[in-house]
Amino acid sequence: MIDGLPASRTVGHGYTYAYLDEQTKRMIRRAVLKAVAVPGYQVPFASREMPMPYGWGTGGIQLTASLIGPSDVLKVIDQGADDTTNAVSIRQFFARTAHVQTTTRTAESTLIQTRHRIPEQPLRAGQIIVYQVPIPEPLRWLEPRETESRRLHALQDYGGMYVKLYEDIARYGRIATAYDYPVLVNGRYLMSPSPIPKFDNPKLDRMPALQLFGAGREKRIYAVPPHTRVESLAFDDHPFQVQKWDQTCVLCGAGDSYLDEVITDDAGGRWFVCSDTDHCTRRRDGGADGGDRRP
Amino acid sequence: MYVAVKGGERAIGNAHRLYAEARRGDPAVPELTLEQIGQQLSHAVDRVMTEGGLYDPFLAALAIKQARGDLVEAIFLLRAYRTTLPRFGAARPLETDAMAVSRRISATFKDLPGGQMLGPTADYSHRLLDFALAETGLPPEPVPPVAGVSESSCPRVTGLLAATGLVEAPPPDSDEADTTDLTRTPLALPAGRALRLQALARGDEGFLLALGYSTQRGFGTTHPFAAEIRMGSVEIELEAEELGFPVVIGEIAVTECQMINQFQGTADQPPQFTSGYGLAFGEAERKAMAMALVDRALRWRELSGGDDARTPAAPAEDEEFVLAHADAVEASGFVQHLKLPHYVDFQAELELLRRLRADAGAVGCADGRAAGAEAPESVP
Amino acid sequence: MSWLAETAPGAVVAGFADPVADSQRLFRALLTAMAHPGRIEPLPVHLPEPQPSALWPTTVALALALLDADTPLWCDRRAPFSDSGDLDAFLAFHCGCPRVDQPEDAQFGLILVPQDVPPLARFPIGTSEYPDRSATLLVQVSALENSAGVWLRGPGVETEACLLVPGLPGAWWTFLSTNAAAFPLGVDVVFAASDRLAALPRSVSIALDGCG
Repeated sequence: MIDGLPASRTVGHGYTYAYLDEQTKRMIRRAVLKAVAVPGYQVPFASREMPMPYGWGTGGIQLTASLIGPSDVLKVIDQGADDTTNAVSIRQFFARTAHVQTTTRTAESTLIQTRHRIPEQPLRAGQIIVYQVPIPEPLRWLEPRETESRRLHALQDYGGMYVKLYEDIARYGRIATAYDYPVLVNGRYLMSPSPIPKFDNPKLDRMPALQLFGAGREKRIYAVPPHTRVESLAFDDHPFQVQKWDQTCVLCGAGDSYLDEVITDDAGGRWFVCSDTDHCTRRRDGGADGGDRRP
Repeated sequence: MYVAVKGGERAIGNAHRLYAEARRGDPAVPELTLEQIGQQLSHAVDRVMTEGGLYDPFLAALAIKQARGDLVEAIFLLRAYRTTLPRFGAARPLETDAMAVSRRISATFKDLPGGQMLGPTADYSHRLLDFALAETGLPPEPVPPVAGVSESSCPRVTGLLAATGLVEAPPPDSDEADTTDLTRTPLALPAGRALRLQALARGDEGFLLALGYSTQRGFGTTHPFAAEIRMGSVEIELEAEELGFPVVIGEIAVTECQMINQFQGTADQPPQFTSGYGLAFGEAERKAMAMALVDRALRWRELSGGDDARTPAAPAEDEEFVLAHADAVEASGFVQHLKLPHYVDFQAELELLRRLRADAGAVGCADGRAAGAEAPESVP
Repeated sequence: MSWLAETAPGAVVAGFADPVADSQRLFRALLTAMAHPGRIEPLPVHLPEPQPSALWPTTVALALALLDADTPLWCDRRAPFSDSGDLDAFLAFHCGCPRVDQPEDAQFGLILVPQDVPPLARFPIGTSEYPDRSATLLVQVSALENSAGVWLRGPGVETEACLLVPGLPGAWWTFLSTNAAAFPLGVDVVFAASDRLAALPRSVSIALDGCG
């Protein structure tokens, strides 16, 4: 038997500011405070079902929804770019539900939600960067059971991770982890920096901005307070290294930014362009030229 | 200017319009009504309500229509709506003993108080396509009511056996203790049985079916009997604080399954039958039965004397594995997130792979050109 | 609401003027404070009258922004203290948080008279597997200054910070430095003066030898 919808459920149903109800925001905010107090430790939280699929940024969205206010200026990036489809979708969501000003400019933003990159322009004190995290547990690939990895964190038993990295060196002559490269926060907790390329890892260290990490499906929140020591795991004889390209960006000529590779034909031709679209735009606005060789 | 996925907003808008167009199909064909979905695709509605965790046939039908019949997507739509609803309180445990049954079968006793009642089932139909259904026509002949069946008292089989001690006594009614809401509290492991059952009730039917099946094939040590499956409507009672007594706030249709398994006993417990429990909204026997099998399988530790040192012997007995992967909405989201751009990570892997190939001196590795030198990190 | 009238005749106090926006503003100030131990953040909201007589506006705002039915609260002032009628009514009506008698059962501690040092060691400090299952103490203090107090170092502090909490007994500081030494276990502390707040998460290390 089907009844009609009550009026409150029909079109125009008013969701609360920033979508989440106040009780949920309080729950998330309390978890954020604990996360900040125990840097790098993953705080379990009662992640809600969001109107976006799990795996598409629900953790970051819940964090942003609990943080955001009308005076914020929001930037959303995916793969470093403001105009990828999911970044557009998330930005629209907050523009609509939180009546917030949005920007593509890193420097103008107060709140940045990101997937897979840290902007090239150094973040400043007072900014907050929210990372979308698919698998928050850095030990997951060594030990799939949460019950076990939780115990390893409690004992600060990270020997297994060093062994894994060392096996890489023995086998390949180098550490074969290119992104989601594990870090040690303030000398205590091993942490997944989310799947950012290891190129971005040095930016995590002593960043003046507050870094928050949200994993919706895995129901975890963690944080790195400003100015906190974040070390990428390494060995004395195998120091941590980042990616570097021989090429420069074809649009702005940048030689110090993370580059995306674009295949241009079926004969092995390719270009490299800045992954960070704001960085690239700013450089070009400033007169930089990559000597664009495109047809 | 070159950007790979430029024009996001317009592209997204157009994608939604294309999807809506595909949903409607040929406008010459009459549009589905929610009443039609609710009345004629009721198994789909029941599944969406069960896994959506919200008993609302109207909204479930709407979700099914909106999702073009993709039930996992419909479950997701219903969940995302459910999450915004306020909580008024926890109902008292359902009195399924007092169910107005429309179907009730036991595989363990030929006859029993209340009798066997086949009810609406396709169990014994021959699975031949009924081409008559391809034509719209007259409704089927109504079934004349059978006197005295549904009116008689219908105690649950496990209750009848419990009196003899042959089946474990059901856990005592707990109004307060176990009303932790899985959707409002993060799951901590090991989870209690009440929390596990919540997760299984919301769990994907296909996943539970496969797990339940695996226990029957020997991946697990259960030898189940379907003590009872009953379907019908039960009242929901809420204890209103101001009144001090429970009031009926509505009635819902459910399917309940109790599986019983032989159990050798432990030092503390005599040999007896132990049970697994399944409950689903509406008519959902497959789900309820699979859930009961998995529930029983997950009780292995408790029924082996709580030995923490032992590890689960089968996938269906592995609480963390089952609970972490049972949810179709979580699974669907994460599997499908692979559609999102990953070119930053891919580029990182590409760069690494080229370097490893160059290290290995791979022959014909023209690709090696693109790899730059890896520079030591410059620490400011 | 009938019981309210019984317990606190005429004492229905106000909550946030704009619950959604004010909660957000207060939370951001608190988050900034927690992320920068020792930094003093001004109270970012204005609270309508009347307020519970025992609470500073900052304390009221913290309670409104953090407490609800999911947060068992231990408070050092309970009925039948003469001034606690409107406090109890405020907590029950606006926060709805369960009140607990034992600090061990609390998720939050509300300490209005820190001079009477409460049994600090009895608040939950979490477990090594779940260090987040620890109490947060909201401590109402007479003033907060970034001068001549204790040295703070650790995550969130660029070099070092200095915090003075006038009138806070030495026993508190002894407790707080022990608390920091137990990291990652420990309680987290928020100080509320009438128009400002500061926080000392367990991650901060405290040198008692004075600064400024």
